Amino acid sequence: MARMKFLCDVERCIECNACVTACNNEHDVPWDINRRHVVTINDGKRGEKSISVACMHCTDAPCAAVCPVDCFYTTVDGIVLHDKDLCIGCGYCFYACPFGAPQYPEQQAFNVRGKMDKCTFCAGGPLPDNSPEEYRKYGRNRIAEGKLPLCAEMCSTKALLAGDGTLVSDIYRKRVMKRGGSMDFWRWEAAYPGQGNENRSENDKEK
Amino acid sequence: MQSLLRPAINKGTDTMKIIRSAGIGIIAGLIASVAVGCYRSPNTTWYEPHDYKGADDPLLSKLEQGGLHAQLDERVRAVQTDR
Amino acid sequence: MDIRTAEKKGSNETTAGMDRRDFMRRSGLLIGSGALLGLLPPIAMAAAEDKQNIPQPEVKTEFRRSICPHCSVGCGVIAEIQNGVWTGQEPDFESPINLGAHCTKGASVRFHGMGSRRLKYPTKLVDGAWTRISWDQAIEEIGDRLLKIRETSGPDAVFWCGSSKASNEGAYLQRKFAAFWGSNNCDHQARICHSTTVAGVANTWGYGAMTNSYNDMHNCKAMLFIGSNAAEAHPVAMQHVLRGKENGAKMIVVDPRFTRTAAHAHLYVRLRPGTDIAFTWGLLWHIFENGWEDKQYIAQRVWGMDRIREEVAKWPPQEVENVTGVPREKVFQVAKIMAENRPGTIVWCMGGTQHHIGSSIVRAYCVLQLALGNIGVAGGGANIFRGHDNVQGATDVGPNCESLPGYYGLSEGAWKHWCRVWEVDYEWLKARFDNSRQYPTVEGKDMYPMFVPGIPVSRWIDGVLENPDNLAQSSNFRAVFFQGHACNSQTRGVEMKKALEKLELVVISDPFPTHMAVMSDRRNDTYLLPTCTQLETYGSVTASNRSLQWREKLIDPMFEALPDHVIMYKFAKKFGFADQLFKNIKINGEEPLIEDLLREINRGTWTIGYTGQSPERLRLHAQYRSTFNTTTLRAEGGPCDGEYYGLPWPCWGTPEMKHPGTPILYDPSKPVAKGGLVFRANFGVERDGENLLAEGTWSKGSAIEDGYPEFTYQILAELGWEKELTEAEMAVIRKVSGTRDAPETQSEGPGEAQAHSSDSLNKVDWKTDLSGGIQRVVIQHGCAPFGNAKARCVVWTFPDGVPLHREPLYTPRYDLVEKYRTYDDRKVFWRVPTRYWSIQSTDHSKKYPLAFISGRLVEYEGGGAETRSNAWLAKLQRDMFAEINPVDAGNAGIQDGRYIWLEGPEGGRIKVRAMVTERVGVGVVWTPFHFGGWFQGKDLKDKYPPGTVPYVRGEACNTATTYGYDVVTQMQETKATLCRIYPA
Ligand code: SF4
Repeated sequence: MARMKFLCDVERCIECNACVTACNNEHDVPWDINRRHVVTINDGKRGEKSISVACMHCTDAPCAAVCPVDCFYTTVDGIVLHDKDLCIGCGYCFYACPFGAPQYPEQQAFNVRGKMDKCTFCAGGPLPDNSPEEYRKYGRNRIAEGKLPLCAEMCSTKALLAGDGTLVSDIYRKRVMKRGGSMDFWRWEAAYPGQGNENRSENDKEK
Repeated sequence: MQSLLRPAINKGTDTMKIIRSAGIGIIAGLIASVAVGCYRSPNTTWYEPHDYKGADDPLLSKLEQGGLHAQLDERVRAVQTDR
Repeated sequence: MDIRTAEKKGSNETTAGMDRRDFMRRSGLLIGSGALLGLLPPIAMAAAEDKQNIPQPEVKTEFRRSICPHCSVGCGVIAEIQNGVWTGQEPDFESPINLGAHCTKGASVRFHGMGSRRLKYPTKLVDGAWTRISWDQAIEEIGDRLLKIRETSGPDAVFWCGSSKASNEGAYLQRKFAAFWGSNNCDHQARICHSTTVAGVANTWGYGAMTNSYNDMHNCKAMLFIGSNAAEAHPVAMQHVLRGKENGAKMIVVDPRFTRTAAHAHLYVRLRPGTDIAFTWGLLWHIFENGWEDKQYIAQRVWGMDRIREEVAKWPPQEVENVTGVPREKVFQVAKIMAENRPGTIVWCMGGTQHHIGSSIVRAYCVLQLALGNIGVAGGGANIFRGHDNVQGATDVGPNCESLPGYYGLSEGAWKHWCRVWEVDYEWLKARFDNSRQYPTVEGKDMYPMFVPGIPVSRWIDGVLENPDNLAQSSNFRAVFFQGHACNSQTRGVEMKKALEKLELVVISDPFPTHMAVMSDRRNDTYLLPTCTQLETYGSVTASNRSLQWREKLIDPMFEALPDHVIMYKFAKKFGFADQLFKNIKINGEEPLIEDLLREINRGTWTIGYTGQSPERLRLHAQYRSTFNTTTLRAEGGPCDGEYYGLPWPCWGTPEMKHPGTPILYDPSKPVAKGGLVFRANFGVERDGENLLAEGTWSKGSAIEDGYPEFTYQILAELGWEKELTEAEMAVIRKVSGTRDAPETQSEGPGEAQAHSSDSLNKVDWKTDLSGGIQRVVIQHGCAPFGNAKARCVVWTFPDGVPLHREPLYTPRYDLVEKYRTYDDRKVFWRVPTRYWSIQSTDHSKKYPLAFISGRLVEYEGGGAETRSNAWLAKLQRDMFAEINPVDAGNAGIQDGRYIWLEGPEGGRIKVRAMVTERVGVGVVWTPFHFGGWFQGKDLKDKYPPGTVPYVRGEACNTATTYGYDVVTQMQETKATLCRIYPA
């Protein structure tokens, strides 16, 4: 059975945040929530890499395992969704999630935690597909329309891929093979022996 | 006001730590998986969640019918490649 | 994969420093995002809770397509509209430019449909309070005031600032409007963006635009980015860049900052700000030393390389290292990579242009590419990434103070050409200008203002503040009219505040109030006119690669906003020249017909081939955009078969001629009729006894197999080609020449034309022939209308014929000033005195030891009024900050995340958060330039009209920037000044 997956190609991600904004646009998520984040390691340094992260739609979802009211469900192709009407906003799933995917709106008076909100793989929630009620609670349901998550579809460099895991990894594998044939992996070394990797994105070494 | 702010600060920081470490994990993982050429690993610890207690999602039956899948796969091929 | 193990591995590294977003988010939390929300006015609270513009399943959805209004990449935008409400945004997968992709700005444009924070009504400042007025009242009051000023001080007393965000039609109208008002005092963002590029590059080989395209970068073998941070400034361009890289191209980034673009490069080189010429000559030193230059190419297509050699000889590795700070091995490495991987491209942006020697820097880049034989080939070129979405188009046909549309200049001939196009009497138009006296010019002869460039946007504050005795025009500026231009993008903020306070009248026509509405302490005589964005109107827009794209109107103008061209119509009517201004333009109600405006551009802009892109052809390209190849941009099949996407200019001749557009400039491998080209013959045919025309090279299929000058009727006649002109064409040519009116009888054959030849007929050329006949015939013979010449490495008309390194006016290396000093002051440059040595002669580097530069954030655009008012973008960057190297931070006692003062040597200072990072080298401070709404430590949120406060405000970096202007174009020197920093 197909499994829906996100994959972010770090060689292509330029940390432009289009994915975050596409998500905000598609679901009109509130000011204090971002369902997706771009995370950068070694920011401003040699080896800087970025990756876009949201809910990973785990096979064995820890959020679902710990939820005291059992508000999570998984579609046949592995999209993890939840029912906001059931959610009590306890935040336990936030503890359990390795990626910090569950978010809580803060706009209620006195900072009371609202219902949990997270990436839906653009598949809405347990309400009639693309009804105004579903839009209000979960945002748009692109999957029901045969479309993929907007973050991936709008990615500036096609770094973020979404869809059936096998197809996505096919695309990714082809890229890796192509890069393998370029100097990233061997030609650079052959052309400039001994000066390969230490010159890559090196900054300020001499200072 | 101060006391109200505090939880926000803590939450933000923790979130970022978790996300960042996860990011590194994923990058390392991707590189490792490509290098080794393996994409599946059987050693997942399976926690049995309880039964879902919420409302029915009409999307589920739509997905089970399969036609939507073909459409989604077609979409991946059409729009996620460099053309 | 075992997730838990992976997580553990990562957790070892959580001590790594904060990244920029982490920082921003955290600093947002320091104020307290919860608390911040508490501060938000009720509208925002509502926006945060309720969703707006919810799609309705039972309502029919219409798809409309526009082009992203932010940067020059030109990404297609698809809007889902229900009952006029913008309910969704879809990727434009069919666009060959973005293939569905957007950056964060493009992904956010639907927020425009929410309308929050927009300026909603015409508003005027009455004793410090913003007061709503009607459009009629606004036009009457402003119009009367302007007419009064014109009467008492002449037409030059008003500055008309136009916009690179306007459509081609809007920008063109802004230029035409200023002309009919009677002044050259109009300008737009290109002045402070790529004016040095346009002047420097055009003077090297003909046109001052990007030679290839984003898509063509798939073909590169090497890519040298210098002063360009494409990952933030042109994110979707990176799709093509990274495809090029995956195809095997070597990517080099040269920049004072380790940018996000640099993070993807194979080689990063840190350069001291302002030393680009020294660096480029350093590269050429190795190229010449090793004989890596393309000798045949230079012999056939390049003039003056020998004089470059003489200059380059003065730049041996040790000197380059001393001046630029780049280790000599790295300079060698870059030269070697560029030499061994051809074709290679060079990409530059404002890091190269915003210097007082900018017009020399860009020529040095060009010379490098010429030496390598990289110009005029796929995968090569000078890929100059322009900034705003239509800065290319506004440069081509819009409000430029030194030229009429199409780079015709301001000579009498240029005015007469456009008067013929506009069908107005030249003498009538001339009478609109100040003809009371002549004024001194930079060339040393006195001239009437009609023929002298106006005061550019970089200098408008001097137009207000300068002693009138020193101005080369009748009066100081007494009023300014800014349509679509942020003032916080210009330097010397403290003086700008003074200038604003001195003005009698300030009019801001913009979708948002902008920093200009709040930065001064004005209490009266300030008007805000709600002007709609390009998403609320339609028209054409020119992307950086010279492709014109057609925008559809997505939604009706929000609130009481009106489009640029309607506002100009209203004022033209008030001023009494509407009939003349819109002589050939249909008016619907009060709206001039966009299509007619484009057709008029088509009829007049022969110099750069804006003649073939009719509204009909552009609409067809939009409709069949999926048929264009994503690398070549050439349509494969379909109704546009063989044409290039967006008919990249020059698209020669009339629309009926069906020229396919020119995807790569100066590429002789294709016939001119199929998009090929050679270097333009624009500088005469010989110099110092040397031939300036091409030798032994021509474009494919050329009837003349050698160099040739530009085509006039006379040359046509000498070749015997004039017989191929049709009767109708001949009639127009005769009319243009003024020899006689259109023939009375139709029987007059072209053969008889010779009988009528006279001097003036002979002088009609490919630029002034309104029939397009000369271009048509010439191209039929495989020739380029503008001739076939060599590119020139020495521009003898510029102060530095050979580009010379000169230290910035405010330099941290004062020891180098003796050897590389700046120019002498100029008493008059265009219309204002311009200082060089009198500034550089003082050493500021002791008190202000750090180099200060600015740049882009991906979330924001330009002055940021629009993007900081977009909640989906604003939530991602909440604070103005300065990047400071840990060493400099340590020396100044500055801690990460805290407020600091950053002070420039002219006294302006800004309060910003410190971001301590190795992204900048030791001795360099960087800030983004999009912030506004603060002034010297004070948040001005109370000064905005109610409901228009941007979500995010911050100090404008240009409050602290300094004097310094390019010696050819008056570009401001923002990429090399000084500052000092201390804790706040
Ligand atoms: S800002 Fe530029 S790169 Fe980003 S979506 Fe708009 S046109 Fe594309």
